[in-house]
Amino acid sequence: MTTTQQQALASVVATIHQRWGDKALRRLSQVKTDTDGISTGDAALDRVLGRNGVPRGLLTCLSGQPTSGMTTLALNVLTHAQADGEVTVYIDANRTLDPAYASQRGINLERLLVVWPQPRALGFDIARDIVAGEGAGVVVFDLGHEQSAQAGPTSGALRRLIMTLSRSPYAFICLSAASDNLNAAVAAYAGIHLHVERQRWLRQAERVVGYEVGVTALKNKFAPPGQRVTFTVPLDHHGPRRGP
Amino acid sequence: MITCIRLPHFAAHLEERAHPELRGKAVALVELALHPQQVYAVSPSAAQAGIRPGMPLPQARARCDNLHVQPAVPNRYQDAFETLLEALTTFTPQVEPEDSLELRADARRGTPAAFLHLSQIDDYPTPTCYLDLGKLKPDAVQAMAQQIHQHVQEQIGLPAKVGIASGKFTARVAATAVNAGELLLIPPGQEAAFLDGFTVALLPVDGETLRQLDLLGLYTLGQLAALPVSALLDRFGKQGRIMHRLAGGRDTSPVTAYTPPVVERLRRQWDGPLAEWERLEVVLNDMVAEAATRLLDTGQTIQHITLLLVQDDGTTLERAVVLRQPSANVRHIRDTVHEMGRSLPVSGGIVEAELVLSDIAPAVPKQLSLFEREAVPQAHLNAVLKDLIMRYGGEHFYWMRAADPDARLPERRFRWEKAGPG
Repeated sequence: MTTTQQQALASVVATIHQRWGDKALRRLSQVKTDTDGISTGDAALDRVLGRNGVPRGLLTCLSGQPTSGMTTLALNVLTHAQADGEVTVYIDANRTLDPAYASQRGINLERLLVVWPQPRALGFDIARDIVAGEGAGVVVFDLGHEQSAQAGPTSGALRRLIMTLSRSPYAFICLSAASDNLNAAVAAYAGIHLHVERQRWLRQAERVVGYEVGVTALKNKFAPPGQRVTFTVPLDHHGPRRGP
Repeated sequence: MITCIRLPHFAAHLEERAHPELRGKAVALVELALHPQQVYAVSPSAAQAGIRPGMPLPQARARCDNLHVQPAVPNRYQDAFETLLEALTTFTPQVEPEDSLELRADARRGTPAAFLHLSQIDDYPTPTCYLDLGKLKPDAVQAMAQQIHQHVQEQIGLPAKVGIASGKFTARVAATAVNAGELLLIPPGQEAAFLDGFTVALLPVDGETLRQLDLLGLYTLGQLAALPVSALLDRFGKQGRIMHRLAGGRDTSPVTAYTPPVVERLRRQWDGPLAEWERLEVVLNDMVAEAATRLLDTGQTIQHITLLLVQDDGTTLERAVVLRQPSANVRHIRDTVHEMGRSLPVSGGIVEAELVLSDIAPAVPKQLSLFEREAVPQAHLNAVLKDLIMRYGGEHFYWMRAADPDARLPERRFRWEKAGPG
């Protein structure tokens, strides 16, 4: 760019700043991008996510089979958000959230709003209204499993949610079964897509005391995808431990 | 003394008045815009055929071959009921409506709350109101109730069911027990004797409590009232004490004064039917501009918009929307009204349009943030929750509460509580 062009550009920028304020226009290099996410409770997984946890203003999709550890991971994020005094909402499409297990994972039940949307797509509209307001926090949407569901009608609601979410300090986590028809649509809009799978049960004598979970980043806008971490979920303790 | 007035099949009756050809027929009213496959209200003939509000329309058609389906206009029924309430305030300022115009057929089954609103125990949603006639002698009360009864009949042409007693619950049971057009007075001191044989299902309690009463062999209010209050307290807690009082006819809950809601209503009629959407949009724009000017002049905002379009075949289409935030912005309201209009299943020319703006409140100035937004934790969620409940209804939002952490059965350790703001 020539000196004349640079001077002309600087003049235009100065005019816009003068008329609309300093924040109206800025160079991409000046945009702050190092905002912290919300911790998952596992340092290795936080590093893999690239934002020290689940990022804000973006959809994070967790997919896997039932009892793979998706809900546990989401509850861990909610626990950390509650510890920071943030708003926590759990949208439970299939009404499968177990208060006893949530409480065992360290969730303060008095501060977790549970939404039972009927039909399931209504959950996206409700989520959009929550993230559209002020405040910050985490919204978890457990899509459940619905084989007959069509992604088409939900796609519009999902697109509107993503547009609102991009301007919001909320983190949004979608839990979807890998075989669900909606999973592909949610994964397409997600900034981070994690595949969660249960690797093996941990036993002491004949008793199951926990299970080992493997998490693979299939898609990640903040760190190289393809990375994999494991952690264990004890079934009778609070919080996950690092894997062997 | 409290007078309870119940108006059975109110919505269907209003439709019969507007469309005399429907008189005597089995009619099912359906909200075309919101629930086109669900019955909203029924006429007496349809009720006799076993059709109930909340029933899927195909099931209703299967029960009655000659069922006539008519579009419901809830806004019009609400208006008629409010007009009646205003007329009743000439007898006493203490007039309290029971919020029963909403569809509540399955409310008892789906509501986790221990105590329900009285209107939720009805299988057929029936507009009901209470009047406190003060400390008159029974003869004077009966004469006044007779006048009220006649007044209601003249006002809406519908025979009402009237019950008079010392408490709201007893008056309501009395009004439920009589036929349409009849009046029943329960003299003071005879409430318990009157309630004795009635079923406990009339109590405003949830389905689980009724199931427990059934398992305990308590079928009538008399059986419940005969028990020592301590036994019910031990079994049901505070709820047991309230049930005991109601079953014994000792209901001391007051009748609150009626405050009519403030609404902005605009109506346009024209001779020929409008078939082009563009021309209708011009009319709607004009109505919105007029309403917005009035709102701005008085510094008010609105949050609830209802649009009614009357087609040339006489059918009325209705759509209601609750805005996320109160607004007086012309463009915002205009765009919303356009969206509402396009979502209505219009099948012919439009001959009349009506715009109703409600939930009117003074505009509250809001300090905008000049800097980065900071986290506003639970207080923000409570504020958002209020708006969400207005938009989507309260049945979607719940808190988990620890009930008895040491209970042996896992399902008793926690309970789901319907979320309310605050």
